Amino acid sequence: MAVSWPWSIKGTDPVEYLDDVYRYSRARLGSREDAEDIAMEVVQSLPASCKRRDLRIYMIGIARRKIADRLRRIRRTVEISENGKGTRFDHLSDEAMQVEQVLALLTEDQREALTLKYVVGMSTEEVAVALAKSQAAVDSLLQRGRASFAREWDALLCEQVIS
Amino acid sequence: MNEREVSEKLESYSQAIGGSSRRPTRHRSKRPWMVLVPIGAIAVCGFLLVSWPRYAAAATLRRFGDALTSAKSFEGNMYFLNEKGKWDHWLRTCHVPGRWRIERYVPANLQEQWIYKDDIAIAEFNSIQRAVIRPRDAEPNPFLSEGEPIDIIKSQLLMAKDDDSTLKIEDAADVDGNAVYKVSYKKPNRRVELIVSRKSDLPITADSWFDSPKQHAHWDYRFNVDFPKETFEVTKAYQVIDLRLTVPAFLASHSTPLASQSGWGVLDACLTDDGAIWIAARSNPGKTVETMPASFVGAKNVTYAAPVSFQTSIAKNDPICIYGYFPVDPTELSLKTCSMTLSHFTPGKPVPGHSDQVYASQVIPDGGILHIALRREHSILPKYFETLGLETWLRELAFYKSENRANALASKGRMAEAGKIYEQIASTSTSQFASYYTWREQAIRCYDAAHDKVDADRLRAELAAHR
Repeated sequence: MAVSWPWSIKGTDPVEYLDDVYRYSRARLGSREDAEDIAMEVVQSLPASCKRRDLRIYMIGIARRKIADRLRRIRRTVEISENGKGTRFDHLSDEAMQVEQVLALLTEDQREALTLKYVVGMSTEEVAVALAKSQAAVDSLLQRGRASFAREWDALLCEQVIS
Repeated sequence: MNEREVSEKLESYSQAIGGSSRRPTRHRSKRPWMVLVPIGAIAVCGFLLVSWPRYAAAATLRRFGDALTSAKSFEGNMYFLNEKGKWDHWLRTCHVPGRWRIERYVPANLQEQWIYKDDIAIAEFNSIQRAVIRPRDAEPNPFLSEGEPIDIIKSQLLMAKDDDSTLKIEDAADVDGNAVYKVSYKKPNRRVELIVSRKSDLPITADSWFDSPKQHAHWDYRFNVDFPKETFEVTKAYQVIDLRLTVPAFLASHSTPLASQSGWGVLDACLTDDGAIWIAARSNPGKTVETMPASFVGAKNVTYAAPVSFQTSIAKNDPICIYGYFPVDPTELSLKTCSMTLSHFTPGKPVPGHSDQVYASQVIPDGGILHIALRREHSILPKYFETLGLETWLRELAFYKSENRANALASKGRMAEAGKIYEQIASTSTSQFASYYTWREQAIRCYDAAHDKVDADRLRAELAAHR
């Protein structure tokens, strides 16, 4: 009858999930610096001993809101650089950069779901909680996301070969 | 690229981006904590440890378990303490070997009875005065779990083991002139007390208290009950829908799919009065490939929310799947066709380190768009909802419609509208359930995004009052 509630008796240091938040933010923003800023803001907004049982999902939720705010600001002020892509100062492999390019082509929902599932490493159930969707909806979203990713990846490789 | 490769690419990407190079500096409080343990408490704990040595607890639990297993029948009534401090009667369950009756009383607008006997399950829905008969092993059949109901009760009542340090077995005041003892134990977020008859070693009552959110559930039990014959019979003069007849009839009258792909066929497609498009589909029975709709296009320039989906069947792994696509905004009702693409996948092997299975997909061949002609249904729901026993899902339909519409609005940046819907969903729950909080939190996020401070602060105050 009772539904699992997030509060636990023993506290957890949010730093434990810093890297998960960083990876999520990195996949969403494409910038190491911005992702580290977000991850630090999230961790420092919480007490050193957090008594939430779903702390990781909760922290991802805070990161989502901060990223949404940041993206709104970026859209209003960004200068389009060469080829419409942002400047990258970090050193990612070519393939990792391609993954970021393809993720950027997906719908917001699909990008979110794939990022939480595969980049952060959440279970489908955790993704459902983080996105406030039913598990069936998340399954469907992941399915569509994977299919879209595959299509866009193949298209990107074709463009690269042709160009 | 197939879908397994997608997950591998994303996981490689996750490893490539690694972790944050920055770590926060923590200024930990240097205030010392001093915990005072009363000497008396230590003495009491010591006394309690001595009072019931382990063998007594083990023997009692064994007698308890044996008595439950030997019971020939039982009746249980479940009550839930509501926000106003009153007991709501939620469930009544009756069991004899091979037969089971469950009555559900809450929510008040979904009172129903389920009877399981022989090889059938009968569901009676009081609000629509309908009874639906389906084979017992078809889906969906709620309340069914593995094993006989008495095993389920036993596993629930015997969550404490004899080496559980929180387990206490002690005397209790007589109940209706019967000598009893009390079994109590604690689990994370939960405390349980059972009152058990000394004569029969069978429980009379069970109470569970949950910490967050605060809930109190109570069960009354009777065992070895002689139930009247009518307990496991259909007694209400409701219209009967026998899925063993109506499902084959539906399939026979829809034997030629409107559109199909890789063994997945659209049996019916209609447009209803609210602009929704309903697709009824079936995969070839016995196929190991699972298929789901991927993309959907209805009326031009109309956004559709993610579909609500249900299923009905009379055999395992052979469902008729129903998908309802609702427009986010009202739309014109002269639409003649819709189109969709599908994703096909086969269950893959578990990936080490992941609790979920990873699915591999089959690539959809070129020309993978299904164009589907729509018929016009002059009502809110397709008529087959009744004949296929889908009215079971009407409460869930309302919920998923709202949730999916809100999600679609939020994804389009229409945050104020999305917030109102999330808040409306939240209003269906009480503070004893986590959904009371999660939907309000969702609404607050939308109101914040819409710069609606008034509504956001109002909901924050509501949440704060219950925390």
